Amino acid sequence: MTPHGGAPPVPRCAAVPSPGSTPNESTTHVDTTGFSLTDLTKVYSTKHRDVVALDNVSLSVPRGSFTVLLGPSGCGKSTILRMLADLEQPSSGEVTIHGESPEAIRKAHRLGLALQDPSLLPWRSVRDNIRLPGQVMRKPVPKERVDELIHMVGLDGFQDARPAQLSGGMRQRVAIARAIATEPEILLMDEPFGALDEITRQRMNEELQRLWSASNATALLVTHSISEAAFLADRVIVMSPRPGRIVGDITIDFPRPRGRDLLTTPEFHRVCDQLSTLLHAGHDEAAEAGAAE
Amino acid sequence: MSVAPATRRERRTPDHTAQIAAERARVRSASRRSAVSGWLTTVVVCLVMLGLWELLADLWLTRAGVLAAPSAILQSLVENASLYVSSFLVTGWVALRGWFWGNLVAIVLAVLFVQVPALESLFLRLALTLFCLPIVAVNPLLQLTFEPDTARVVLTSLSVFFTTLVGTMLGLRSADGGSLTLVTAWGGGPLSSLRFVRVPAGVPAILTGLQIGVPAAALGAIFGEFIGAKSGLGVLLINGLMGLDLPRVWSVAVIVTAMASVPYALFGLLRRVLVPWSAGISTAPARSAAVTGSPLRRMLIGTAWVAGSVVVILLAWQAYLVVFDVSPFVGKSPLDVFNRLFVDEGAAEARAALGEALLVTLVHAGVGYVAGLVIGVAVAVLFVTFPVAERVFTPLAVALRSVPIIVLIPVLILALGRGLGGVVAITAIVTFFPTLANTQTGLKQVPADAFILMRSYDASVWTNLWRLQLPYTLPAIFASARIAAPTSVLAATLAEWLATGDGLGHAIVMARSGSAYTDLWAAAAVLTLVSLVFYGIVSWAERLVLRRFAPGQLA
Repeated sequence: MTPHGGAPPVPRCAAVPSPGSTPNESTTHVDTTGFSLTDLTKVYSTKHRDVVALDNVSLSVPRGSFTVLLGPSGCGKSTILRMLADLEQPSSGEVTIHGESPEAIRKAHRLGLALQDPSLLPWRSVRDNIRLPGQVMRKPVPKERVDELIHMVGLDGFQDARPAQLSGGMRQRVAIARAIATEPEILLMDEPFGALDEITRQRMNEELQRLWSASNATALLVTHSISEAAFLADRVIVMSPRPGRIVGDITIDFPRPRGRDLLTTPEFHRVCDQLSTLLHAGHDEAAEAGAAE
Repeated sequence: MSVAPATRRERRTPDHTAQIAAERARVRSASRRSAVSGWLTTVVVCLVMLGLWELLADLWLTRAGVLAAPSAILQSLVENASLYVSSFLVTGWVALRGWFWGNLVAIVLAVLFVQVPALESLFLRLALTLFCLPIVAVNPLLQLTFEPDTARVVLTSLSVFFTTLVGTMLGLRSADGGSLTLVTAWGGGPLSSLRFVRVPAGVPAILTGLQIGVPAAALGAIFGEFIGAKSGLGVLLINGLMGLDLPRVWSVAVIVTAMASVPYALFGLLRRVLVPWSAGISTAPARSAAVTGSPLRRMLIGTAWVAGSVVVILLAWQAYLVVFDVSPFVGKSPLDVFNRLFVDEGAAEARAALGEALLVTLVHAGVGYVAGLVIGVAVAVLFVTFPVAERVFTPLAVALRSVPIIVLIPVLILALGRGLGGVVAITAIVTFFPTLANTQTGLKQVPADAFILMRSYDASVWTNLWRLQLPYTLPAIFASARIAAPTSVLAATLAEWLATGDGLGHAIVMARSGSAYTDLWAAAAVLTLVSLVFYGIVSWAERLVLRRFAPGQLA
């Protein structure tokens, strides 16, 4: 189930500050690679100037792992996610998912996506919103699977409710259920819980972990919450803004399933401190570079 | 957890539960009482006004030839019932077909434009031209081209077409950006986006378009009957106006109002039933494809689109003559009109006559337009400041919105005379109602927190109005000002056609009866151009205002 099932109870955290580092060694076996980014650069041209959103980013993660991109706004983490979802094209460099192009994955209906806004269709019930991706893909989600998903996200009894009747947390659960309804190979999530309060958010993280563990999907979550990253990830990629670069790459070995008691352990705090240090170092560096310009 | 607030409330101590129940009952009965009393007040005010109307008419106004008493209208309706019914059937059938075709074409085009943006850039201006084509100018041209019945149906569909087109496009575009992104990520193409997201999202706007189209269809159908018709409500209206038959004119006005407002109300109801979900739960805006590149490049592209549109419009004019095989005697091409106004003998006189008529029309339309805007905003502010006035008069204003201007014109002309006053009142009224409604809506969209903030500064009512409410409402005011611009030209020319004997409206009547077809086409072209320029100026002002007050609404 989890790639780190036999991890020791005490986490082994290795900080590898590696801007522009070479891809992981494991890429030699294509079979085990989840997704990989090679020398990825993205430049946005606006009226007045060019903005480098991503500067030569390389990264490779194993299949079935849970990766978190952590960074402040403007560090290009959402850009990476949008390129993996084939919503944007790199200016240079290459993106592959399970050895194929994002476009091939998207067209083959093997992609799951959740955004910060749950983006539920207000005229559809919970059930019909979860059925939607299957309808678009002409690959209907069986009724039993829909019911099972509704049960898994704890919305029994709300099958026929419209989104307007649900709270923010419930809407986001529907969005997560919808994202995994078609059993995608890769699950991309762009700050799906960003608008929720801290307590709801933690519950959602636990549910997400459970749902992901039950699937075989390679997951990528974008966030700016340090504790969310430390709680969910097998590996946290820390990014700095303008231009977006990788400033830290931390493997997190807490055994799964992780519960909320983990949040109060010294080990968890040590990981959070480490992420925080990397995040601020990257931020300060970028600010200095900006000032020097 | 998410339903917890409700359950937690239930878990309170019993004495609290009792207090809560009592409070809830109090609030509910208070709101029911206020709703009932609001309607009751409206009904009472209407009855009082009706009584006053009867009284004034009986005592004085009917003798002065201003308005007919309600009793006289009723009498006329009863005595000539069979005539009114047969006329209603004739006009209603034309209105129904025109309404159907106009809306159908508009919805299909809206879908095409949204799916293929290049088509929109080129053809939306053509569609806008169709909207700015004052039906005063189109009516005689259509009568020259088609069978009388077909011409009336086409005229009706033209008067319905544009608002549905724009409304549907807005509706399809209002689709949530996140949902569209998801459909793309699931491997869905533009058709999937259309089917699963855009069309359902557009349903409310489409229904609104169908609703607004009802009075517009009545207008088109009746105005079509002003030329060469033998039966129909339009004929009765003209005859009544010519013979100064007050009860006749008012009876037709009542029938047409009923014909328009009953379906209008039904569509409003239908929208509430069909669209029970509450909008606005997700607010991610759709990404729009903005033109990028250097300012010069953007200007060149913009100019190219405008030039392309002008070419398309002129080609459409020429194509109209060819496709419908209009005889060269009555059908004049852009070149013919150009020659008449700039090359041929007598070009200077033709230009002078046209210019004089144009000036008159501009005064008629402009004065009424500005007056309608100012009064509309003022009344809306009054309504929001004194909610009592709003409760009483809003149902009345909504009802009056469904009255087609075509029946207001004869009524107002009889009441106010054929001079400047009558025409200005007409253009003012057609501008007034949409402005009032839009401004009212806009004033209510000010965020509640902004008022709380102003309250913490102890701001006065006037400060609130000036610093907060009016700036928030500017986009809504300008939206209605833009739509009202061609309508005011239309209203002015309709009044000129029917009553005043000057201006472009009258010039068109004269050109038609004198078989001066080149002059007819020239007047139609100038009138359309004026409408377009008027619309363009207001749009430009709107963009300036939006840039400062609502940058999010700019594409």
